[in-house]
Amino acid sequence: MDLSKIKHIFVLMLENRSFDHLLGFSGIAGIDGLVGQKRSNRDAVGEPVAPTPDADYAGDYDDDPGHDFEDVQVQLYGTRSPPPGQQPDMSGFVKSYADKYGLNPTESHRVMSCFSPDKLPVLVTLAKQFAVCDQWFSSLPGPTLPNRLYTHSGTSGGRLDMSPEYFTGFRTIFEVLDEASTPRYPKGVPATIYCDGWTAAATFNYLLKYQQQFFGTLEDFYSDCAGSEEDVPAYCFLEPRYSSGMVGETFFPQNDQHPDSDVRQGEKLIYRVYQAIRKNRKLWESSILVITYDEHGGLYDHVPPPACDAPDDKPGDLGFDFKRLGVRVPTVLVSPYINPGTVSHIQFDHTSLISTVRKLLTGVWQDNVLGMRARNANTFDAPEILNRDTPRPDDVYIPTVVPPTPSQDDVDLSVLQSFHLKQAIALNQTLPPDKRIHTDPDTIKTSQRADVYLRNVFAAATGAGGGQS
Amino acid sequence: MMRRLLLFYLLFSGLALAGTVDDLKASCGRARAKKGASNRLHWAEECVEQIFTLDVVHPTIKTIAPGTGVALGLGTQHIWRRNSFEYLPSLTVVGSFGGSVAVRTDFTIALPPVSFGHVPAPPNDSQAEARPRLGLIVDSVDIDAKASIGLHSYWLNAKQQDFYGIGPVSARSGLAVYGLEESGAGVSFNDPITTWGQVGLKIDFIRPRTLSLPNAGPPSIEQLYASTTAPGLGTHAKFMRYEPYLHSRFRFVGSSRWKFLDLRIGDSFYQDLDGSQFSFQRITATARTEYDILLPSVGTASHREAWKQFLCPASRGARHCSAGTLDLVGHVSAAYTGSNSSVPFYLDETLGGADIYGNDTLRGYPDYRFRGPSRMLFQAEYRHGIWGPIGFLGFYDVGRVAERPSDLAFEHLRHDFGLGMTMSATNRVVFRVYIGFGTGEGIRPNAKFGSIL
Repeated sequence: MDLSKIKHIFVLMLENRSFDHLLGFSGIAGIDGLVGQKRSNRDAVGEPVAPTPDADYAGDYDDDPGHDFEDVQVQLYGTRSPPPGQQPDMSGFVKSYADKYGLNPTESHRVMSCFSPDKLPVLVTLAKQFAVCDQWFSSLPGPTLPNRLYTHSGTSGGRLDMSPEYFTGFRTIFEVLDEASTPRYPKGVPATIYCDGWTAAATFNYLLKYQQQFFGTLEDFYSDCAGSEEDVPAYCFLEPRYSSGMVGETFFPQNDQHPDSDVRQGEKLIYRVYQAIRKNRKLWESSILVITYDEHGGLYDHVPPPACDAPDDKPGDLGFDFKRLGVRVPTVLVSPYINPGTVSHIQFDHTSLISTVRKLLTGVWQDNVLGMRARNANTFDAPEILNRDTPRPDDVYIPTVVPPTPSQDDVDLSVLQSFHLKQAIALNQTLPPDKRIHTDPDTIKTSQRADVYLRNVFAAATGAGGGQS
Repeated sequence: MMRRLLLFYLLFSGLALAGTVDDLKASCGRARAKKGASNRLHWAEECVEQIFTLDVVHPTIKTIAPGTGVALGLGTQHIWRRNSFEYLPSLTVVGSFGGSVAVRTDFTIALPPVSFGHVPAPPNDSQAEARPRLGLIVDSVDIDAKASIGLHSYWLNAKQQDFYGIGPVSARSGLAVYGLEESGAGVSFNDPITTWGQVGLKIDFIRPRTLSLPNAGPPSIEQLYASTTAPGLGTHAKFMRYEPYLHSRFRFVGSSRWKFLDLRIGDSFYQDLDGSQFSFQRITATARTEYDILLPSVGTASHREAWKQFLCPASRGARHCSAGTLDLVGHVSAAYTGSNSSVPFYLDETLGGADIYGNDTLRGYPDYRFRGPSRMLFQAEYRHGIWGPIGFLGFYDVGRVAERPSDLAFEHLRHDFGLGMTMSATNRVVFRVYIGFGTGEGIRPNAKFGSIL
């Protein structure tokens, strides 16, 4: 196809689900999944545990499966310290889960639970009707924040941890696009992060400097899509709601699909994002929507992550050289230039996002501006994916998901939320006094209270959204 | 008196500072040590803010009433929570260099959330998963968003208040002055019953006293006016005021350039406790909205000249830039009296400068330049951030007072316009300095802090 038709790239990045966990039993023809395959891990008594399509919408993972670097090492190699040269065999998911929480064998089997396709009608329908990538890996075998750093910057600077303070000085795709000058965008390629109350990218220095350009809420996104196609930024990075909470009088549930939240809320988010783009014909016919997950969340996948380029020569934490990708994650590409039933086996990781964005929107991408990994990453504009010259005329039917009314009970802070909170506290301290949120962080002990604080700090820092959006 | 006040101020300021000496040392020390003007300014702001927001006691700067000048003093407040209740007591004591003094106490109790039921959201409405049919707003940070009960009391002595006569055509040459001593106490209840509205009730006891100022520069009020031209002059009435009100706030989310529409309607009954001579009813309606000004623009931030980016920062999509905010305010109040009663002049609405509650009115005119039982006022204010807490301000005001509600019409309107600067702290404008002109009565510079009332 004529790639110049693609003027908008949307990326919706959800949380912590592996490919097999969400799509392994989808039955989509041609994917490297679990249907008809004999895969297993052994539990503590040596019994083989096969993945099963019995995951529930929520409630399977009161104990969040480990996904720090050391946890993932066990999941990949069956041991925390594999000898040099050992290849991952994906044998340690059950062991990792059992060891982390002292679970009995039966309890530890839950980490092998996968979804049946009827429980994920939106994601599975989009995957069937457009393109699914079955070789898309997270960028490193570790947790959320460094993986998301790769998504924006092509590197985590050698870090594997969730410490928030280092999410500041990186050069990001947004800065690169901002400075670009191309025949189509002679004065910069507009790009925006749309989020729902918080984004870890809120501490990037350059983005904060031009906050009105780089940040918006998801409500802004829906409104922008309903307006003129030309007013929609060329690159839009969309983030879900990472925690439940009240906004004004209305309760908004977490919809990032992070275990153990209800996946139906995330399905609803995917549906709404798709519809926002789809309903604007000019926008739809000039766009690609990428639905992906930042990392696997400790949940089972059977495909060993391949070796890869390191982004730079910097030494990594814990002796890791960043020459191994993380666990496979589900990625669905949606565009009118994709035929139904498209399956891509091309190897991607999150640096493919920034590579493809640069390639399609600026024409320049094979350099070290965002690291060596991104320079060499495969781009998803391949003709086997964008396999139509003209936009599809059909309107795909997607079943509507109606989640039950969510519980409004307040709960303890999640691990991810506690890191977001630390980041927000640090960000708040850097704000001018007139914008600072004067809540004593020591009083924030629950998820909903943190949710309000995060939302308020984000609004104060970026001018987008706020406590009463 | 002032020496005692000053001693009081210094003593308690000293105590307040001593309690947080580490914090102050940190930020104020950085203000001195940090390299670079912007860094030093940032930490200087931090230092000043810490001084003025110290928990439990902090120095404060207020306006007691228009014309009384800058007042310095002490404020104390502390919030604590117990069994889902939040308690916020506060006390402010200020005195001006002109001898005016004011004391105000507040005690607010924010009630725990109560929810009476939920209506399932429509399938495709992800705006709301559940809409409370009737409930009390819960926001664990903003105490104002909760249902609350408030108790308050105050006493103020404003040494010199201006009076130009009653009505829309009062002459500037009719200036006389009076002193105002007022005390009051009351209770208020506020319940946000929907996402967009709240109801409330205020009940106050008010005891105003006007004082003669025979030695002031301008004539004292009783030298130029009588009770026929200044109702209430020479009498000392006490009042109960009952005001039920509705307050709605509609937020426009998404790409709408209109940010919100704020409406408040109140119906106040002033009951003269010494008879009915000064009993009256006043209905007030105020609307306020804010509009983001977006201009066509080309280019992302790094492709725009610094001055363009400063004046009009690029917004999402980089096809527009943000050129500031326009505030529009409309206010109408209508006072109704019985056949044998009237509104005492010290409870009249005023136009010119700010009113006694600190609300801006016709900013190009002197304080209280026009006075009457009823009032209409329309204001447009343009604001644009300049740097950090400092912003630019331009305004246009138009309005009139009226002796009867039926006189409220678009005749005899007074206009002004002006330019100025604002300074914000903790997300509120705390200080304004501006020059108003276009009144036909000369140029009027003014500087204003937040009001104690």
